[in-house]
Amino acid sequence: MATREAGKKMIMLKSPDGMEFEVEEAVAMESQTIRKMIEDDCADTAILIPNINSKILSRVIEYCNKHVPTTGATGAAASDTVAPAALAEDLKIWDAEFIKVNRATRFNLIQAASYLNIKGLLDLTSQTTIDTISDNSLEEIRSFLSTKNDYLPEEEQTIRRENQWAFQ
Amino acid sequence: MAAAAPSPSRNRPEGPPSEEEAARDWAGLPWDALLAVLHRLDHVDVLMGAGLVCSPWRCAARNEPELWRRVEVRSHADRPTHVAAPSRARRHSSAVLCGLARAAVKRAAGQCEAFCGEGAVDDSVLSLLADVAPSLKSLRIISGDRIVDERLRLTITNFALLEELELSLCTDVYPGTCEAVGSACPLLKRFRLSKNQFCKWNTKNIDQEAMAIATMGGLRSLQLFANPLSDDGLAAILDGCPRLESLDIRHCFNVGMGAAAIRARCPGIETLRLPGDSTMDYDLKFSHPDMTPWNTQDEHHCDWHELVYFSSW
Repeated sequence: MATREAGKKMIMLKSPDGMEFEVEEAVAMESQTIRKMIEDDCADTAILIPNINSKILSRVIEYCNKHVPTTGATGAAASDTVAPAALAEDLKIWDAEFIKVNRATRFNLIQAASYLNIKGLLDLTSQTTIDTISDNSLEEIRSFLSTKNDYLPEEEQTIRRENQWAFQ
Repeated sequence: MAAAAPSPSRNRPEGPPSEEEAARDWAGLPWDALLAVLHRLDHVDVLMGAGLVCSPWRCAARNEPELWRRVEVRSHADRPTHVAAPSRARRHSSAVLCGLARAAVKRAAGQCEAFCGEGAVDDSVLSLLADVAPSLKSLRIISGDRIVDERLRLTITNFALLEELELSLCTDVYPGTCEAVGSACPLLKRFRLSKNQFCKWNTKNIDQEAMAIATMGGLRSLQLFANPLSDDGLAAILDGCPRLESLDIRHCFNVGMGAAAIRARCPGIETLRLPGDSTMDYDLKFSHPDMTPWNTQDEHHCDWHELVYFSSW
């Protein structure tokens, strides 16, 4: 179902909840997973992206749209007028805005970035989590991650013995 | 936004998440994504926190040797304050940090290629590395208070594949170790031996480390910070290590040889930092050099110095 629009090759991405997103091939190829599918010629029809709902997929595409290198006729003209440093600064500000999401969305974005193999997005999404995990106690991390201490009592004993430094 | 922007993004719902979403348990993060997060964490944080929170995270942190291929356990206590403020997780005793280092090395399951310990290395960590990390390529010891030349010279011979070695802010002098490395580690390319303070009054055996370093024939990069070596020692290094590309001898104030003479002796050197060069970009702590020359101190004063030095052992 790949089509052409204004000289650019388009790719159709489908989320499991039935939404379709038409994106430029270059934008979709920000994802190494999709790039591989396209290069292996598995992308003739729409590509189904499993496990990523339309809300998250649209945000991922938004990210890729912003981060795709500006090449080609119109892109080259644009990048000629903007200094690379200013462009990078602009991207940083955009990223900071982009990642202002709740924890559940961030969880889903990490999952999506990991599945789709988009390094920049994975760096961005996991960094906030890492900042929170770093230097916090076990209970604080558990509360942040909405996760529970799921060890059996005897397991907990072993863990305490093996990792006594963490429980001091 | 580009013409091809997906239309649904314009209708992206804002506002608070549903309760179901907010309560999402991160224990359910897929393995790959979980590893991506753990990979980006400091090893101390993985060992002390993230790697213990729940079974899936513990499982990933324990059973994925890839996470521990390059072990880094640092206290960051010796960084200049502008580089890293000491935080809660860093206030651990050396014994705890060495325990963390041993745990990290064990988890690498023989695949450890690089080890960096700051305040986290003692003989037990080194002998464990010698036993389980035969393919170690990089060994960096920072603030190894209890690392003495007598024992390190024996352990170091186990690491025949070593390409990088650092002994920074370690309190002993290491001529024996340097000599052992010269013969046992033929692949060594980078060596760093950085001390806390240059002392002008120290005039005994000032070239003993330099003469041993001169046997590391394959060196490309050498940093000797605040080393007492003289022009003789430096000349031996330049002759013995003809492939040097980077040489940093900042705070080595016994060296009088200038840039032209150094480059003439070893033409391959591209990056050269001289004794008086700026330390603005220096990454470890150091003390102001003690420039009191030996001959202005009376004999009694010098004995007093030595007395204090040795009585601290």
